[in-house]
Amino acid sequence: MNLLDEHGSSLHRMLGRITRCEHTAGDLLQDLFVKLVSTKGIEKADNPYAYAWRSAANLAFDWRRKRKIQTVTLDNAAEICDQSSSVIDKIIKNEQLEHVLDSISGLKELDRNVIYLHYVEQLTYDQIAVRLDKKASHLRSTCSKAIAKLRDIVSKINSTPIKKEGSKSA
Amino acid sequence: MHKDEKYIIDCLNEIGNFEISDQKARANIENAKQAILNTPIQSTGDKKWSKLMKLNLTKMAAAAVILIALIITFNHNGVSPDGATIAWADVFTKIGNIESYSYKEYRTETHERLKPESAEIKLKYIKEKYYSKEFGKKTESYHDDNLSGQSYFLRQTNKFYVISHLMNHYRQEDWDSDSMDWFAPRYIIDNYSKSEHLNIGRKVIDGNVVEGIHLSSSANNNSKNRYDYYESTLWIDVKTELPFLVETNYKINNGPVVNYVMCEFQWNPVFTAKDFTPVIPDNYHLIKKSSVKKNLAKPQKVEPLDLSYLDEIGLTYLIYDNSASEKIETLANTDIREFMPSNNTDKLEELLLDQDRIQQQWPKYHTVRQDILEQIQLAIDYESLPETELLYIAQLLRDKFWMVGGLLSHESYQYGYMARVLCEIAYERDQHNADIIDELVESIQTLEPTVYTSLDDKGNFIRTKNIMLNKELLELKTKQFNILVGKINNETPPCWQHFACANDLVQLYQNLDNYESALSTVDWIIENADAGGWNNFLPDIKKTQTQLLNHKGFNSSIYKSYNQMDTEDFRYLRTIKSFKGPSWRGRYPKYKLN
Repeated sequence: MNLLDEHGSSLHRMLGRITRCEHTAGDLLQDLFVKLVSTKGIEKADNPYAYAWRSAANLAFDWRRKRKIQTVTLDNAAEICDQSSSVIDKIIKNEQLEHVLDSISGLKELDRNVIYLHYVEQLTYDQIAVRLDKKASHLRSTCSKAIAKLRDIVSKINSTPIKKEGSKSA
Repeated sequence: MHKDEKYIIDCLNEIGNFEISDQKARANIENAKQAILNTPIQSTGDKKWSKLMKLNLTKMAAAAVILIALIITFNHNGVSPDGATIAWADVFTKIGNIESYSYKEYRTETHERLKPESAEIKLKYIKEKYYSKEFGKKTESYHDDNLSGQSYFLRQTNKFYVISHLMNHYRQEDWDSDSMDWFAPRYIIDNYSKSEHLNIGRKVIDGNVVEGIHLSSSANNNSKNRYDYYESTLWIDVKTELPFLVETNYKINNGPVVNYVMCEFQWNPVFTAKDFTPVIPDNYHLIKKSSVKKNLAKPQKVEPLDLSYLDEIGLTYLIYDNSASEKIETLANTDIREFMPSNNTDKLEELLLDQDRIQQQWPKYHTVRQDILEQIQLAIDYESLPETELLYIAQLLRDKFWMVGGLLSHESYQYGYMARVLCEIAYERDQHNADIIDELVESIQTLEPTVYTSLDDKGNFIRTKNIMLNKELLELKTKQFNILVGKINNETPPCWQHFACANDLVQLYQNLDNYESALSTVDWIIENADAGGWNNFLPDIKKTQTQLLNHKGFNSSIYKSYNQMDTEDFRYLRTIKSFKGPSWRGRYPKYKLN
């Protein structure tokens, strides 16, 4: 309960950023704490917050992998095209962010956590080292390689022919 | 910077701008707090948890009693106060939508005494089982509240792991995840839906209103009449329409009484890949896949060596297997009932010859001992069992050996070898225990005769002493004799055990043509007859003495079997006199002591 009081906001924010849905973030936060009190792992953890953070990140990325892709029907697509250009831009931007997040969720746990903490949370490698209990130099090289992997994934997605596929709603 | 890289980093920065309103965030955190408060603290192997549950039960007790009284009063023939009962279709629909679950399993097996002097054996198992449609199945076994073992059936990698924390080893094998369906949640209720069952109404357990469905042996049609009795009650949570508690008691073919409880179900808990990732400490060693099955058994007649039954259903079917007599007939390619030893000795010799031929095709014990030991390690935590239980299991395994054909079977040796390994483990722990030596000698003799039967050039049956076995038994029996004699003093006179051991020694010395030692042992028997109370045997013993002086055989018996004249008894011949054979043979001293 103390952990929730102290770090609930931060964990909730992270869940929100990865899922991009406040409702899902709330659900996952519940799942996270139910899981934490139901298992013994956190009792053994040297850094309970770091443990909880990693569990939360896993939950969020797992959710992203598991959720079903909802293809936009032709009717919906036509409707979208009728919207004003600013709305369309917003939808496209949202689509891009979803693609990047989906791509990250396909990376290994360490890779995706480093990318998230460095580029989304804007933490330094020294700060990430404390969070993930790894050496900063190792994380720097991990991050560099992970970005390269992510670039490959994203470029593949971008190079595939455009389909009548819409946003993946949360 | 690569343009895609810049695009990605821009997106990541943008993702960081996603914010949820403070109000919504606070509401979500508050909901999480409530979820924690409503969650039972269920930590792995945590004693605190059971204490908390007890407290919880205590608090619930008063309210529960009142509720039970109210519900029972209005509840007639299982119909709830509003006249409604749970519909099976709803339960099936609900359970069909379950993606993951976990529950706790408590199992107690009470083995009846095979002999009045046998200790009653009670085996207790506690397991926690986790199932995820996505990830697979995990079982955690506990011994004295400590995690003793884990098994994983992993869907995504098609791997199967068994980790023993007692032995610090693990096994990893390929596994066909298509068989995963077997773990599906609907199997928890399958048996009840297919059998005639009785709705026994509602009650309150732990503050939850549940409705019970009861199966009894007469109604349990799925059991193929294997059960001496079977009764099981499934309690469905009225609110969730999902199983809440399963209580089962059964006994199969006079085996142990089994009490089996499945409880503390969690439905659709959130599991991550990590929950189904085996964590194997660096110092654990990998056990190679056993070669026992492929190397030891003949394809046509192999009974798969699968020790999982020891874990899953206890030792039940070790003791009773109705297929035994059929197998004996099949394996010997003949009907043993034709062979009355008294009037058809040639046929009996022929069968002994067959036995020896089959036995000599078995892999040699010492070449497969390690494989057998590994099989045992995977099935039971033998290190945690006391010697008495090891010996008891060995006895059951020997019975199983005889049931599946004994020396007439190509596959029975697996059980006999396991029995011998267990006795050797007990003996390694305590080499000065005469009872353990008895059981070890029994196991060794179960697998090998002291005299082989064969044919000479002219096709006549001849007997050849099994010198190696006789020497091995002599060494053990000599040690046992010294232990027993060392305990004799004024207050502890010699007893039947001394007499039986001395008789065995005489026979073994004689088998090895050591007549001098045989005679000195006979002298000891005669000298101690008064003190030990076996004067009644003196005429036979003195006859034996005369025979040994002339270097002739020793042929008196000090034991009798319940079914001595039964054709069945031929299976247990060609052993030393104290050899007991399976428990149903009922070997007992021939004469009472003075």
